[in-house]
Amino acid sequence: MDMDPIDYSIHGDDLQYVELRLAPGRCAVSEPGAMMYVDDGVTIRSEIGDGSGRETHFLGRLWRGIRRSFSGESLFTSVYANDAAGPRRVAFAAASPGQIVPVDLAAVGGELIVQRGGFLAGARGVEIGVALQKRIRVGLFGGEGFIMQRLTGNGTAFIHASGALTEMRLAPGESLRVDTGCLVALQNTVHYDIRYVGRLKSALFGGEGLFFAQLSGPGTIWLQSMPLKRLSQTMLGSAMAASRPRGALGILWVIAIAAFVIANILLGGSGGGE
Amino acid sequence: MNGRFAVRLYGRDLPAAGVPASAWFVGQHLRVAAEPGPELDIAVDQLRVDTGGFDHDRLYLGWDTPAGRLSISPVDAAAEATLVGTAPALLDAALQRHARGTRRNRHQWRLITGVAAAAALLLASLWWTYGALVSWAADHVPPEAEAKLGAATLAELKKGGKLIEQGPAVDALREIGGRLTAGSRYSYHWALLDEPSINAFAAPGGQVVVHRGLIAAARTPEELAGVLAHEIQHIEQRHTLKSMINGLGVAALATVVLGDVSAVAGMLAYQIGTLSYSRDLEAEADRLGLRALVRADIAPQGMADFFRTLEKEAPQMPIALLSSHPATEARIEAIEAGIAALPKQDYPPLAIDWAAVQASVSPDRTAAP
Repeated sequence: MDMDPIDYSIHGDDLQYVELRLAPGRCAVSEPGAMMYVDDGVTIRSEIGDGSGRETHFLGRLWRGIRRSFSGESLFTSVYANDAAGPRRVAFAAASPGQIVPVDLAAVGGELIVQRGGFLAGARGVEIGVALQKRIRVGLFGGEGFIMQRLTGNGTAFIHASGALTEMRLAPGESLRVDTGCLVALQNTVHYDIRYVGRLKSALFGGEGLFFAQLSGPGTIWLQSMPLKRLSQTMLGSAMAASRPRGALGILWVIAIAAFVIANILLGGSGGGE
Repeated sequence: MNGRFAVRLYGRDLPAAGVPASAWFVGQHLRVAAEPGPELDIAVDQLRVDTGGFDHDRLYLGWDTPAGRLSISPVDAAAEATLVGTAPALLDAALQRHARGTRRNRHQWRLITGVAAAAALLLASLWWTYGALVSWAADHVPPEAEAKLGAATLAELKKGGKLIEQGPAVDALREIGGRLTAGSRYSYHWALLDEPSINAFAAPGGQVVVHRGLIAAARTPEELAGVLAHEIQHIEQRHTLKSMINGLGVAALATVVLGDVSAVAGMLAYQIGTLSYSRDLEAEADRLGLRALVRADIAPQGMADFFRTLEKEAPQMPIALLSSHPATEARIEAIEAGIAALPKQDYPPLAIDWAAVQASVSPDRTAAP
């Protein structure tokens, strides 16, 4: 497969975007809607399928597209081709606060498993497929569901997750317990299992749920510090709290206002009667 | 080379993707040769067999070194087969455990798929055999329950005050109906309903009710006999029960079987005039009705004539019989074809003074004191 070496730079701290510099004739692919800006001379096409250019038959591409849409991506892929004579830029922005990490697929054995919707953009040649979780208990309690994305190819793929993204190497036999939902990506050599928290007390009050994700080497894993679910829970909690008076003083204040209003109505009513 | 298998060598200080290597067993030792680097030699009793990988199907052989654990994994199924085939007996138990573990995943999925497919199949077969199931359920309603239901339905109708149970018209019904139902397991009860619309209906257990309008519209007693023969088949073939099971569900049937018929009878009394049967049940009642007419030695042509008459001469009249018994052209043709197929014979005319019967149900008579 032809592989497009890609020259890129990642900008921003917590709200990042990645800028790709395409040599003439080179292509990049992304999810529709991820594009932030693009130079003149770059043509943008929407293709059914993953834009890998491997399937030329329409039905084959459609089938790939449908499979992709199960993995949380769109049926379509946007392909950005540099038709100009010189290098051109195209930038892709992440949809939530977090980080963008480049992964050279060749360095992880040509295959990477990513959480649903984790793929942002990549060199042309990166294929996005479905990774079905074959173990039922992991699919149910592992925090990633039964469907993840399987990126294959040799190019560079940009994956995105909310919060800080960290890469970790696990040696053979080395294992790590991870809060379910914090797993972003893993090499296909890594063993992904679940493990009961251990004690009922921890399960109920530890705040981590009943299970940890257990990841065993060899291989590389990527973790996110702030799963979107946790972030939205926190934000929803503060949003609810902000919309009502807080604490004992607040309640007293409400009672005082209510008493004042009621007294006013009663006194006003008797005053009108006299 | 024979006995060699392609693997990837993983270790803390090696690239994440692993190093391509070749491995083979020599006696109780495993030899691993990575392309750059020295040949490794590991005693088999130092090896740990693990199942790993995202798909839980990768075989790992690992061993500890001073610089951390190293492990190898066959690159494909062929390499794994060579590994398993050439491994010393010491590893057999562990390798079998690996094979069992990967099989178990497949079995679980097969089980789930199988259960889902079986459930879908069951639903589909229920759908297909629904008619047969309804017949089966109807056949298991005891005749006493049917009779009770019919009697209760009639009692509900009686409350309306329009039921006529004696007179020349009822006598005519009894006369014709008695001939048509000779030898039946049901004991029939014939009644007239004081309604001008053209209708007739059958309640389970042998209750046949004919509207006054139908007697007025029929030109000969044979035409009335045709309608009665049809309605009687609804009772004999338990069509009402089948429609009830279809419409009201199994719960209604359960109350009938368990003996509490009053609620269902109440419902049935209001519905029965407009209760519609499926096209198949109507065709069956026509077909068997013709046969019953021949058995009773009554000219079957009356059935076709009556529907023809209704269709041609009374298009503007409220013909409830047609709305609940759709008299399509196709149906009349089917009846006529059925008559044509019968052996030709001469039927004696019914010995009924039809003019007197019609006069007894004319509105003038009911208007007079």
